[in-house]
Formats: sequence, structure tokens, C-alpha cells
Amino acid sequence: MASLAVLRDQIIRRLVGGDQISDSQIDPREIELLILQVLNAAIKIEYFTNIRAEDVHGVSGQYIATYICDVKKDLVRREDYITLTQPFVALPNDKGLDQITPMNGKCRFFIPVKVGFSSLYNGLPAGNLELKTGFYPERNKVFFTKDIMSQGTSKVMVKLIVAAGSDVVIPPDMEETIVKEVMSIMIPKMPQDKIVDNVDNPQV
Amino acid sequence: MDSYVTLDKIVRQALIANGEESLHKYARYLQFGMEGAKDFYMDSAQDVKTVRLTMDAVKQVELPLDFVDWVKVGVVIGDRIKVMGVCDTLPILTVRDDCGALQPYTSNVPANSIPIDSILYGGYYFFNYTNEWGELTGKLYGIGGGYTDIGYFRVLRNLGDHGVIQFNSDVNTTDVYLEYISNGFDPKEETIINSYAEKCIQFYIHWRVAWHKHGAASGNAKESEFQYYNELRKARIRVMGLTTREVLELSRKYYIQAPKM
Repeated sequence: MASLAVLRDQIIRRLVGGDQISDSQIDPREIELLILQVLNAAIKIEYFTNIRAEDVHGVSGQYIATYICDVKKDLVRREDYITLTQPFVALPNDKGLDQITPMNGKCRFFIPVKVGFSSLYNGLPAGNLELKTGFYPERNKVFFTKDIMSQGTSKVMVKLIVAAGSDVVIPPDMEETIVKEVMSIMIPKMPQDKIVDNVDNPQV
Repeated sequence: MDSYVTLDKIVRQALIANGEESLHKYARYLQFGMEGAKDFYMDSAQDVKTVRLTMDAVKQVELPLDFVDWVKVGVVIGDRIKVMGVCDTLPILTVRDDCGALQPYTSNVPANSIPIDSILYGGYYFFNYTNEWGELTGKLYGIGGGYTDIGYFRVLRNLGDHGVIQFNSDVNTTDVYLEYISNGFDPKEETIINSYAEKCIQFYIHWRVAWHKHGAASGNAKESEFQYYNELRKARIRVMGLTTREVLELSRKYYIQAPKM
């Protein structure tokens, strides 16, 4: 199984046709970024493939990134919220934001809801979520439907579906696909020859 | 097996059965689960909830939030319930003072006017229990049964926040015992379902999800509907299980000892 660094070096060697020389313009950071971008796109494809193939609405646990976030209070909106460390893969129903659990009781769990939950479910029996707390993402923040700070929750564990960070896990079956995809992006392309004549690639 | 399961558990079971690996559709499934539970509670559950309510100064008690219909209204005396009578002549209109505060009705019947008996007994006049000098003879013929000395009530659903039970002004208790059919939901508590209906509610959710699924074949919804009604039938049989002992008791209920001539 190759790590992000191993895969990055492999791609660079293939691009330069050997070890990277000092005056190469290929930036390893750009290759890493591309690997993660390709992997995140592949996660989304895997989600829909799983639905079609197995009727399973989820992705592999290898793509879960876990963070601990501090709960803050928005004094204007009077709602508790957390700021997400990074964005997540945009899956239907915000499934990229997989789970949030309070650190002071992990057997408790919060219920993911949509942004319009409080108005849509207002007055309906399901609106109180069986006394549980809901959460919904809004830009880079996640708001809670109840005052969780007063219940003693100051930190929460957030699980995101996203390929990020140097410790990202790349499934072995994905390695070749990622290498090919990144190389196809990185291989320099000749400028278009728009003039019909016998001169190739004029510098226009 | 527990006698009750939480609706939360049933909803999560339905999510698992539908291949969901997270709680992102929980609220939607919960809404369907609550609709299924409501149907079950009202038609099949035979669950009667009991509360003791305190009557206020205007002889009213607020209906519970989950109230659907009353089964018994009365007063606990010793180890028995003395039931009150239904009275549809209690006024729906309220009396308010100058400040708008609710005021109690009083019987307000002058002593030499229409006797209270004639109001209580459906407007019929009974004078056959007095002689020509106005003395009580102790015999009141013709009234028939069905009257109670505890008090009368009327359910007024359009008063207060959730409706009230209005009692007649002569009721001299403040502690009211109420048995009622609940819709199964109390916003302050987790919803619980009879274990017999666990599968039934789960299949109701599946049916509704299949019914509303975008682009799904109508055959799937029909199949789910069939499965739900099959589970509902099983749940009703379990809940309403009639034992041989009950049949025997019923058959003997109307055997009475006949006088020997």
C-alpha cells in the first residue's frame, strides 16, 4: 500500500523519466494536491457505484477524517455551532458530513438534518427528533438545533468524508487510477495548431 | 422481549433495512414512523393513558397534548373510579369579567324557579315526588337511570391551547381522573410503541419511503403496502388476542339466577 508521499514520488519519476532533477519545475506540493483532488472525485463516484451495485448508501471507512472541534455560541442567531476544519465531499443529503458526537458521551449521537429543517418540521411530531439534537452545515460552520453547551458539551467529534492531509489512506486498487489521472493532467500538452498549413504548432 | 420499544429504535432499523449507513434520512423516516404509530395508536393499540388532572376555578381542566378522545372521566373514591356523566347542555360560550378573565358558571337557579332536577334530567319536569302540600313523598318515578351525583362534563376542543374539559358548576372536587386514547406522542418524552407493532411500524415506513421514492416503480410501493397491511393484521391479532378463558367468562356473564316459583 502506497502512502501519499510514495505515490507523489512515483508520479514525479514517471513525469521526468527518472529521479527528479534540481531544476525541474514540477512542484511536489502540486502533485500531492492533485492526488487528493482526484481521490475526492473518486469518492463521489464510489458512493453512487455502491448504491447501484449493492444498494449501500455509503463509502468505505478509509475515507473518514476525524477531528475534534470546540463548540461556540453565535450570539446573534442564538445557536451553538462549530467551525469545520475543512470542507467535505458534497454527497446527497450532506452525507459528506458523516457524523458528529459529543465528546462527553459518545454513545449519544446528534442527528443530521437539512438547513430548512426547523421551518419544514416546525409543529410536526418529528420536529423534536425524539428529544435528540440535530445539526446542519452552513458554509464552513455546523449549527446545532439545541443548546448543547448548556448540556455540558463543549467539544464534539466530527467525522468527514474527505481525502485530506498527509496521512490520507489511498486504497491499493485506486493507486493506478490516481497515477494515470494525475499524469494525464500533468503531461504538457502541445498548443493547438489552429492554422491549416504545413507548419506545426506555430507560436501564436 | 421488552413489552415496548422506542420509535427511535424502529426508525434506525428501517434505515438499516434500506441500506442507509448513516442517520441523514432519520428525520424523514421518523416523520413516516410517527404517522404509522399514530394510525396504530388510534385504531389498534387499545392503549389507554391515565392522568390525574387538577380542576381550576372555572371548573375546567386542560386536555393533555396527546389527547385524541376520552374513555373515562371521573373521580377516584377509595379503590374505585366513580365516573361522571356526559352533558351536552353545558355551554360552550365562556363568561368573562371586565378584565377578560374567565369566570365560572353558577347554577344560578332561584329556589322557587325551575328545579335543578328538570335541567339535569333533560328538561323534563318531575312533580310526582311531592304531594299536594309540597311535601316530599320520597318516591320519584319516571326518571330512569343514567344520572350521576358526582358531576357532569363536556369536552370543548376549541377552548384553551389544546381544548378543555368543562365540568358543571356543582362539581365539588378538584382532582379529576381521566382515561383517554392518546395519539402516542408527547413532546417531552421519547415515543414508545407496543412491541407487537414493531414490525408493523417499520413496514409502514418502508411503504411510505417506497411510495415517495423518486422514479421508483409503482409495483414496489404496492408490494410494500401489502407487506405493511399484513404486518398490521398480525399486530392487531396479537394486541387483541382473545383467550379461551375470556370467551368462557363472556359466555357466563349473562347467566343469572332465576327466581323459583
